[in-house]
Amino acid sequence: MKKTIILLGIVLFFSSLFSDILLHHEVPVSITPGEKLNLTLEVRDGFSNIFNVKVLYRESGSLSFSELDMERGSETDPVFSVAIIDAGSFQSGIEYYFMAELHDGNEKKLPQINPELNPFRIIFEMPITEQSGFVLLSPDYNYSDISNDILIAISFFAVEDQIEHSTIRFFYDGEDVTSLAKVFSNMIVYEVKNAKPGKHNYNVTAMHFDGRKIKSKYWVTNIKEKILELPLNLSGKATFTSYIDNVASDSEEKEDSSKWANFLMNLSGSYKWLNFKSKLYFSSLETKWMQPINRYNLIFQVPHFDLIAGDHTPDYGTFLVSCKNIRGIHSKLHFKNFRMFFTAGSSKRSVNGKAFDDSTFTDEIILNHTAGTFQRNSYSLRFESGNPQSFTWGLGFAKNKDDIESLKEIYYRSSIDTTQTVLPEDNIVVSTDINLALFNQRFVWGAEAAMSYHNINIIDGAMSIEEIEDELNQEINFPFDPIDFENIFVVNKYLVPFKPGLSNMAYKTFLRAFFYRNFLNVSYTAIGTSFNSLSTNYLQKDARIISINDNINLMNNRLAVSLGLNFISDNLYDEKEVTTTSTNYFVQTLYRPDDKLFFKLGLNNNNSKDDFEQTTEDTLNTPIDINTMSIIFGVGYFVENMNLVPTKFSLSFSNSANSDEVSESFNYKKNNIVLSASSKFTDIPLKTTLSYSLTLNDNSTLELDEIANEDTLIVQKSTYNSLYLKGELELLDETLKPYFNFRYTSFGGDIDSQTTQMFNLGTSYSITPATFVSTDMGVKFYQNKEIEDDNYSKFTWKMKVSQKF
Amino acid sequence: MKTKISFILLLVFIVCILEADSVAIALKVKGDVELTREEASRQIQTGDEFVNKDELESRENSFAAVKFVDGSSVVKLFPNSILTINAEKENGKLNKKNYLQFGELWAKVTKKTGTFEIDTPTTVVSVKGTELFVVVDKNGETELFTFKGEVHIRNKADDNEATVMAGQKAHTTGEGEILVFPTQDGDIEESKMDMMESGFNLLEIELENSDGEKKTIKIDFE
Repeated sequence: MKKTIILLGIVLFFSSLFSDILLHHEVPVSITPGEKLNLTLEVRDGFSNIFNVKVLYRESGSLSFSELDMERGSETDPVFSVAIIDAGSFQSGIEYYFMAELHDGNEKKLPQINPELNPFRIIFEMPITEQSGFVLLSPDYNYSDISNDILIAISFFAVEDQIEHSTIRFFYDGEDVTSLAKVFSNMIVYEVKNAKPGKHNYNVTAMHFDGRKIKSKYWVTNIKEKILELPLNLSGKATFTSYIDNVASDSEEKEDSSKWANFLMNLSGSYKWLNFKSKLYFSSLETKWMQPINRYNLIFQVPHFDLIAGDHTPDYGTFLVSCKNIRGIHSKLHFKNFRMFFTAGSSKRSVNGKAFDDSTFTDEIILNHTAGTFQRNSYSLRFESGNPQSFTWGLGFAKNKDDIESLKEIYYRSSIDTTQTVLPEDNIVVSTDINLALFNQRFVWGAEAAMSYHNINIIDGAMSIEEIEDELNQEINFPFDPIDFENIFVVNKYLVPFKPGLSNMAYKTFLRAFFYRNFLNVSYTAIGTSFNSLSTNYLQKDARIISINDNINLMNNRLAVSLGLNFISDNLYDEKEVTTTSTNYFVQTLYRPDDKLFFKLGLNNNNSKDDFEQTTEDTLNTPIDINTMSIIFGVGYFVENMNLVPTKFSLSFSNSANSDEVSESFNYKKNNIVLSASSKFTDIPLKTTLSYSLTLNDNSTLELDEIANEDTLIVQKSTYNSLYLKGELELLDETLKPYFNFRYTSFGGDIDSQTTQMFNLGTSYSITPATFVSTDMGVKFYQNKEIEDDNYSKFTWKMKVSQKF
Repeated sequence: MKTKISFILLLVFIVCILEADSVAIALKVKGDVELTREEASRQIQTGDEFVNKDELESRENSFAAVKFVDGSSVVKLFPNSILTINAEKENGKLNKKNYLQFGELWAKVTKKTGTFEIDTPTTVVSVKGTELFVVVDKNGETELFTFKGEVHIRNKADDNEATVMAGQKAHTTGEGEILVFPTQDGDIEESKMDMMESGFNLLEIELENSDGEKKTIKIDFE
């Protein structure tokens, strides 16, 4: 068994290394409080093979990953992008990895090796110069009119004796409008007349007497466009996106075209004490053969009660319900010291299998079907008492059961030998947790424990005690007959575990402390082998996890240090012969000596090994010892006084090495350099980006030479070059932004020499502050110098229309 | 020469005015609210800044919301009221001691942001992190309603004191015992309650038909 798993792992690993999909991601320099995190994933090869890409992310120290679909670029702009809105609240830092779902059903992850243990990490940086000494007096939503005329008043009363008043600058929508503002001895007042609907941001900067530049936070005021006066407040945004691509090639096989479109509408409103929101997302990629892509919900909120109908991802605790979309009804009854949550819906819908001819060993046509998916009904209930600001106690229950009636038998039994191709499951979880928060939530301690029962095959329903005893050939002491409780939970010989114990339990305790700009997060988690919770996402089983993360901000937030240690081992209750342990440690530092320069240095090390002892008799199994190490160095400088063209330069270098330390079956090295320059011209409304990337791969793998019947070391060295240039004009008061970009890539070395040239021409236009249109046309030329038949050209067109209301 | 001296004096006066620390700003003004500063009067508008000793007088159907520069407190001055703004910086905090000569005032105060007192002709109202409504009539009789937290009230004449908790009201003539009662529904007109909660956009008109039957029309205006 072990041999099979190892072989499978190695096959999967190598198939991913040398598959046609090549992904690359540059980790952003940092994330600051309240900031949304924009991530892009570059597809260097195989864009058309990717159906969808998700980013899976979590706060450092958490267990479950949340997932978000990324927005697809195009063949001529081969990137996937996403904005993680809540990332700015992850004070422990954020961890994430990417998962690409391919058209052939396979998956490709980045980082490639152990992404769950070895994810990308971004340092959480406290803003250097943000001063709480600046207070926004107006607009104040409680007292001010938020109309097209806004009065902005910012007080610097608290720092009036510390700053040079002549250096005070007020920026409105990024423009220095100090000369139009009234500066008093301790406040600045700026009146905006006839502001355009939409979001407007503003902030203040000043020089401290000690020479430091300080600045306030960014405030944002949203001016709503009054198109139609309704008896209720209603606002929202609707976006329609359409995409077409067309391939032209000398080879007819390659000629292809595809198109898709989606529609997204967010709506929110209120009427007296009723608030409501809605999200509708419809995609042309929705198909009955897959789990839903479309998402829709309607949220009603009245005092003390929330009701959500449709898609929602409830969070009832790490082990009970988390990070899983459930389509149904969700409710929350909430008072100061008591809350009750309830969810009823389904986490999977039924999907039929597809028919195929299974006549491999016969001339007859035998119709068979691929495995389908049962509808998974999900019910959960949680009670919580106490004040979240101090102490809470929660108790929850979750049940997930596959609905056998939701699928015809042909989709879960082979028509040849009647074996089950898919197993319907039943699962119950009970969980309890406590949270203690002190010092205005700067110190939080919590603990959570859960117990599960999981039946991995309920197709034949419950069994009587006698039947189970006969089946298992042992005496079972059940206080009830399982058949009487079949509607609550199905007990039969597939119950996991049959005898309750520690293995079907999971528990966690954590401590979070935030003092002196130091955010410490320590947690200990133990998840038993038989613990299963079907309404959580990507929760590791049979694991003991010790996690220590610390984010420290020093030197007036100019130096940010993030370090962590994660220790994971399986075989929690010594039920297996071999224990696998993974130790991961990382250090990231970001230093900004001034507002223009930064240095970044990061080190990440991950080692996974087991305690398997090789014997001379057992030559098939080998111990595991896989090491992953990466170092990243980055430097950036903003040349502000460059004549006419203030430019931000950045250089990033990363080195990674993955190796099999025991059998030396692979050694995979990668060096990557990215140099980029972003400029904004002062005399003309032009912004440019120039980026050059060089990747050097040095891979050696041990492969079986079938002729010599011995392992041979295959060394493959390759290079990847990429040049990207983008120019964007900002016309008509920055409402019209035509742009052009060009990307040149080339592969070389021991692989086929290939080049691509991609051109995109597009524009975005804010017709009104509420109406936005963008369109993009692109062409891509691909040349393979070794196989000319592979050459092709591609045309893409993308259009997006959005309307705020 | 006279012109030069006048000009210099004017300049000095302007500089003095400019140098005076701002202590508050008008967040919102409706109708006719007059500011008296250095014996000169003018009508105020949204965005005007106030300095120490500024006197505000609101006319019929006129209101003003004033926010102090430390961001700690907001005062709403109701129609037909006179308020003198007194605020001084001490140890980095802004101590506010406003004088309500006559009329009605609502205030919302944040804790630990300097003292906040309301002087009336007969009493001193000391506030510690709370929400309150003060009414002073022509005779100086003071009525105090506490909505959140607690408020101390003291007679200037005899130093009689009382603590008025949330949900209570106090009444004093300025002398003798300060009476404290639980607040009853209807103690404060509904239109005024609406103004405290939502702003000053509500206009109330009372109509009486030939049978003496009264009806009130409420207009929510911009």
